[in-house]
Amino acid sequence: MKRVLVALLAVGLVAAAACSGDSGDAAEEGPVKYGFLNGQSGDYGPWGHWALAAAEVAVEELNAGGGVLGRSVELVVEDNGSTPEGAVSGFAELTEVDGIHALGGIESDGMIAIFDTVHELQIPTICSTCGTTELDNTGGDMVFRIIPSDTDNGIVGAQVARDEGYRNVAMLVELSEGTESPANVFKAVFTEQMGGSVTADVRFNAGETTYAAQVAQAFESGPDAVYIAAGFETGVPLLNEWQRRGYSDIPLILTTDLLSPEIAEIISGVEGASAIVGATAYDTENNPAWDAYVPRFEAKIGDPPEIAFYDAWQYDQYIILGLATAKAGTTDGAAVAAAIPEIANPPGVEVFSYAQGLAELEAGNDIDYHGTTSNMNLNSVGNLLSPVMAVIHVQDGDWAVRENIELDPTLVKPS
Amino acid sequence: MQNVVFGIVTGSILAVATLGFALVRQTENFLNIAHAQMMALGAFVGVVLVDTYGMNIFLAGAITVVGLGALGVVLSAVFFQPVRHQGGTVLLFTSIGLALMMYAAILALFGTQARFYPDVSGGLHRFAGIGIATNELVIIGLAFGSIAALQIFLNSTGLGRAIRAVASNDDLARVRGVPVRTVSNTIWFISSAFGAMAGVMLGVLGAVNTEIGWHNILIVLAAAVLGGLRSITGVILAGLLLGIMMDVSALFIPTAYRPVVAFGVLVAVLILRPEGILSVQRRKDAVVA
Repeated sequence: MKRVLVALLAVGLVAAAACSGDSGDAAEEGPVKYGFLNGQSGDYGPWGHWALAAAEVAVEELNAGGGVLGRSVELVVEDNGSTPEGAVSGFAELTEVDGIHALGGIESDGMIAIFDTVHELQIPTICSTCGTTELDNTGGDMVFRIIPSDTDNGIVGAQVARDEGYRNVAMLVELSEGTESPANVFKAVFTEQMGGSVTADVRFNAGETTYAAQVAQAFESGPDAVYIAAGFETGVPLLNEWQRRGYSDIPLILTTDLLSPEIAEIISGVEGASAIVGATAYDTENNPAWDAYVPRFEAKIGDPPEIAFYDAWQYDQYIILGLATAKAGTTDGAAVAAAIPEIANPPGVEVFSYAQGLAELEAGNDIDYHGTTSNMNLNSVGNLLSPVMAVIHVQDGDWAVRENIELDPTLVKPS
Repeated sequence: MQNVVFGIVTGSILAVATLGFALVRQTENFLNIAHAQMMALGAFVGVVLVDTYGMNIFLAGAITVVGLGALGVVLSAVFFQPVRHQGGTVLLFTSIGLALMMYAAILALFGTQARFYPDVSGGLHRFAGIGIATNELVIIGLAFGSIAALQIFLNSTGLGRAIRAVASNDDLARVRGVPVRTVSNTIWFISSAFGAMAGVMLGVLGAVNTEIGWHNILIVLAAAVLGGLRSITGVILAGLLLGIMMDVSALFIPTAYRPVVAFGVLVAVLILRPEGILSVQRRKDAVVA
C-alpha cells in the first residue's frame, strides 16, 4: 500500500511539473494580469470604492492605449479585509489561481505579511498605500513605494504640531503596524528634536468594548493637543467618545488613516472642535497627469478626487506597471521590476500618461513618468524622493487642504 | 473614580452577556461558545434597524432582543436538542460549529464593513466631577433592570422555579414532572435575548464589526468562571468586578493590557477558588459540615 502511495505521489509530482512547464508559455499569452489586493472592507474599507475606481481608470487608460505588449490588461481584484491574514490568502489566490504578473493596491500590514513571498515569486509590487517604516530600507528590487513613508508622515505631524504652537501633546495610538509606525516617529521627533513633551502615550487594542478610559487618560493629562493614530473602525468610536466627554476644546492632530468622510462629519458636528492632519497630498499645480485624471475619475464615480484619499496613487501605480512592462518587453517579474525605476526616474523624456510614455518607448527614447501625485522619482530602495505634503483640515463638513508645506530639512529620521 | 464609572458601564454589559451564557451552562451543562455570535448578531440586527430603517433605538433594541431570543430557541431545537443525550463534550463542539456557522452567516448577511449606531449619547451629566453620558446611564439601568426582572422571574413564578429545579437536578426535576422541554426553550430564549441585548449595548458604545463576538467570548468566559457558573449574583458581581478592574487598571498599566488583567484575575480564581467567588456548592458544603 505504501509503495502504491509513493508511486501515485511520484506521478502527481511529474504531472504538476508538466503543468508548471506549460504555464510558463501561457504567461506570455492572454491578457496581462495586474492584481489589486486592497482593503475593500475593514479599516481601509471607507476608501475602497475610490481606490478601485482609480485603479480601473488606469487600466482603462492602458487598454485604450493599445494594451500592454499588444495584449489587453485585466485588473484582478481581491479584498484583503484590511488585515495581514487577508493579504496572505488574497495574494495566494492572485498568484496561484489567477496568475497575476504584477501587484498593486496593498497597505502596510499586508505588505509586510507578503514581503518575502513577493520576492520568492518575483511579482513586481507597487505599494500605493503603505507608509510602514519597514520599507524605508528594504525595497527597491521587487517592491516599490510611491507614497511617502510613515517616517515622513510622523515628521510632518510633529512639524505641524510645532508650527501650531503645541508644546505638550498626548497620544492615542492603536496597536498596529500602520498606526504605530508614524506615531513612533512623531513622538521621537517631537520630543527629541523639538523639545516638546508627551503628556500621555496611550496605546490600545482594536475591538475594545469602549474607549472611555483611554480617551479620558489622554485628554485629562493636560495636553495642548491630542495626536490620534488609529484605523477608521477604531477612530469612529474613539471620536464619538471624545465628543461624548466634551473634550472639543482640545485640538486634534490626526493621521492619514482617519481622513474619512465619517470622521470629518463627526468633527464638523462638534462646535468649536478643530482637527488637522499633516499628510501627503496630490501634485495638482500645472500637472497634465492630474488634469487628465480628474475628469475621468469623476466620470466613473460621480465625485472629484478627494485629497489624500489614496485614489490617485492607485491610478499612478498601474500606469507605472504598464510602462515598466512595455519597457521590459516581457511580463517576466524580474525584468519588469528592473524597469520600474528606469521609467520613473530621469534621465528621459518627461511623460504624463501611458500613451505618451508608450509612444516615446516605441521611438526608442528613455522616459521619466510624472504621475498625478508626484514626479514619481524613486531612490535606491524604491522609496519616493520628494513627496508632496500638506496641512489638511475640516472645512464645511469635509476634509480640505489648508496649505501645502515642505518637510523641514532640519528634522531628521530618528535613529 | 471616573474610571470606576467606566468600569461599571463595561461591567454592566459584561454581566448581561455572561448571565445568558451562565444560564445555559447551569441548565444544559455545557459552555455555549455560540453565545458570543448571538451578541454579534444582536449588534448587527440592531444597527441595521436603526441605521437603515431609521427605527428608534429602543424599539430596534426590543425587536432585536425578542427576535433573537426566538432564534435561540430554534437553534437549540435544531442543533443542541438532537445531541443533548451525548453529553457536554459533544454539545460544546456543536456550539463551536454553530458559532462558526453564525459567524459565516453574519459575514454573508452584513458584509465585512464596520457599522456604527448613530450617536445617541444624549449629553454628558456631571456628578461631583464625574462625567457619565445619558446612554451609559441607560445601559446601566437596562442591564440591572433586566437582571432584576430575571431574578424575580426565577424566584416568583412557577416556570422560574421549574428552571431552578432543572438547574439544581435535571433528572430529579424530570421525575417530579417538571416540563423539561418548556424549561429548556425558556432558558434558550432568555439566554439568547440577553446575548442580543449585550450586543446592542456594545454596538451603541463602540463599533459593530464581524469580530465583536470573538473579541468578547473569552472575557465572558472569564466572568462566568470568576462568578461561579451556578450563581447569578456571582456572575453579576464578576462582570462588574472585571469591568472595573479592566478600566481602573488603565490608570496603572498600558490599556493594551486590559484583557491581560481579566485573564490574570481568571487564572488567580482558578488557582485559589476554582468554584468561583460566590459558590453555592461551597455554602452547601459548609452547612453540611
